[in-house]
Amino acid sequence: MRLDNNFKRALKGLVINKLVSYKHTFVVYPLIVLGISLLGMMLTFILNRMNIPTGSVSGVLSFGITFTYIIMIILTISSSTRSEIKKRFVYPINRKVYAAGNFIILTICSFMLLAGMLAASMVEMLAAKLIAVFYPSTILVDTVTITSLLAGLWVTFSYAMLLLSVIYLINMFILRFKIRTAAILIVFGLMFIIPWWRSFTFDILSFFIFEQSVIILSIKLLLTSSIVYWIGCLPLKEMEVNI
Amino acid sequence: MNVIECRKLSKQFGSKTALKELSFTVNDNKIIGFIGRNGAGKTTFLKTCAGFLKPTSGELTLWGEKVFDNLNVISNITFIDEEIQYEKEWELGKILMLGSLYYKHWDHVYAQKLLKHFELNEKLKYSKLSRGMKTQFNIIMGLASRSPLTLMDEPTLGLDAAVRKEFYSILLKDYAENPRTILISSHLLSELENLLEEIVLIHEGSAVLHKPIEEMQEYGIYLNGKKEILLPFIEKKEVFSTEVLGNSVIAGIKNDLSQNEFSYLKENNTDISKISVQDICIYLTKSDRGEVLHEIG
Amino acid sequence: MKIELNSLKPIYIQIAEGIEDDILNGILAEEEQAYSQYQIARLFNVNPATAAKGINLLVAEGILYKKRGLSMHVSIGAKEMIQEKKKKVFFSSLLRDLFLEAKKLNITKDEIKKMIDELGKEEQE
Repeated sequence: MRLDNNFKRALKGLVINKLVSYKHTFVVYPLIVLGISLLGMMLTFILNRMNIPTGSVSGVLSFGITFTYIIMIILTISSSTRSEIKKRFVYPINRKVYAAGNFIILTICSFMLLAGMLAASMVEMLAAKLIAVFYPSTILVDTVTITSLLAGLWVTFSYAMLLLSVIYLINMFILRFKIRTAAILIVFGLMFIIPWWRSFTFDILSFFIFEQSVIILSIKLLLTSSIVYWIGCLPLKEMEVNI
Repeated sequence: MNVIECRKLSKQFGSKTALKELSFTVNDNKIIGFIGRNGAGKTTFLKTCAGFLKPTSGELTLWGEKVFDNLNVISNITFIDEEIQYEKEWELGKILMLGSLYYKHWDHVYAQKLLKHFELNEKLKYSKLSRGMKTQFNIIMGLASRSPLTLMDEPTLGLDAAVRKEFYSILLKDYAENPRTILISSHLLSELENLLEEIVLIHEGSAVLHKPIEEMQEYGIYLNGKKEILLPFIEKKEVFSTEVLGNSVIAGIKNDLSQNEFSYLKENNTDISKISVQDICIYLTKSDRGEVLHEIG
Repeated sequence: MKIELNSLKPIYIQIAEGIEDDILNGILAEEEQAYSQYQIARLFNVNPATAAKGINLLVAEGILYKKRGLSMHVSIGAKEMIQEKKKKVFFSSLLRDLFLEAKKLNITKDEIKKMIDELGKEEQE
């Protein structure tokens, strides 16, 4: 793709524009995750003092993943609304810039949130180890290693991208072709009653989302999500923006 | 060079026709008045020109290229109107910063100068602005972006007379220093007319006329004189309005009088005065012309 | 210089006449730099093209000239040219209007002549 100056300028503007708009999310998010982990530690601490043996199961990890997914789903839905599109097209951009910018934002945000979560869970692990030092009665179940954390981060990120792309696609089609999209979704849903269709769908799905090798899995997921996202941008193509 | 070229441009919204075979061209570096009544299609045209809407039929090219989704063209356009919404929760200073990122020709020093001039605090949130302040801020965005094609849809709504006047002189000064094509739609034509170089008058989605402002200012005259002189005189003329007051008549006609006709009227004590461009535009966009009663001010 | 927005006269002609008046009154001296189209545009809030049209009218008549393609200057003999021109207008239209008005008011030619003589005397004193 040939990138001329106009494209670069517009893309830069859009990405910064969106990042600054979402900055509250980035401030609030780590605070919540940190708060949760502190709460978990306090709980462990108190229970230990009462001589009730307890272990801290990576609270931040499971909580953080759920939380990231929820936030990212909200961001994705909000970026496929008419008012959002209207807001961005006030400035000199075109549909290609808009699609690219949006994808970059989804990628950056998902990655940053998950990375933040990872950092928080490392803090939590350290704290747990400290508690274990002071209270030998603590049983620390520590199966998490840095490598497994990083691999987990990458896989979670890849899954997030696929999920968000699918949500984006459905939203954009609903936005542009309400009735037709709804009809297709209903037909697909109803066809789930047919057993062979059901197993066929699951087979296809599992081909894309299950894989032993982390690298192949993430390549599969990211490739699929790019294609899904690209299809999700098709409704934009001839769409008018009524400022 | 032609900036705007529009050939038989039509725009339909469902069964409603907003633009009907609109054709005209605009050269570069002029201030053009885009005039018409409410619902004549002004805003639809400006939005099509800015690339928000897609023509239903016909052609609209800017600098020879189609507009819709064409970043090459769009990068050189700024559109402002009353409904435009910048980031609601952002401070003005930040929105200006955004303008400097997005707009190719943005002048940040000028933007901040204008902000000071209009006494807007850059820490103020956009959503906290009053209607007039919002208009002023939109004007800043429109001028500081310095786009080769600047489209302003009713740029003075909600401004009091003093601020409007200020805007006109700011616009002229900036235009003189940075010539570019500026298309302004407004219903306050009388205030605006001397700023303009040309006028495009549209009615029901089509262009009625496109003329230099001087021609428009000489387009029509009121004759005020004796009934028996004027009534036969205007029979062969294009009449915009007639009003009979007892023994005298006030008639608005197209100004195509010969020197002899002028002398004839003068000798018969007929008063001649100019019809304002605003009134001419009203007459030319009336569906039933002659019957309109007119107040002379 | 002053501009009457509601006058029958087009703005650019008023601008030209305004400059002529300033030359006649000595506000603009011969060989001196005249107003630029942008100065006029900003002074009266009119489009620079309109101002240029007024200036070009005077350039065409030789009253103003462009120096080194940049600024406008008053030509030598401009004052005389304008006086000559205005004289013609005076006889062809102003005087004519005077007679028309006089006719309306039933003033005779002798009465007008008498008035003119009296005004002339006042001037001399």
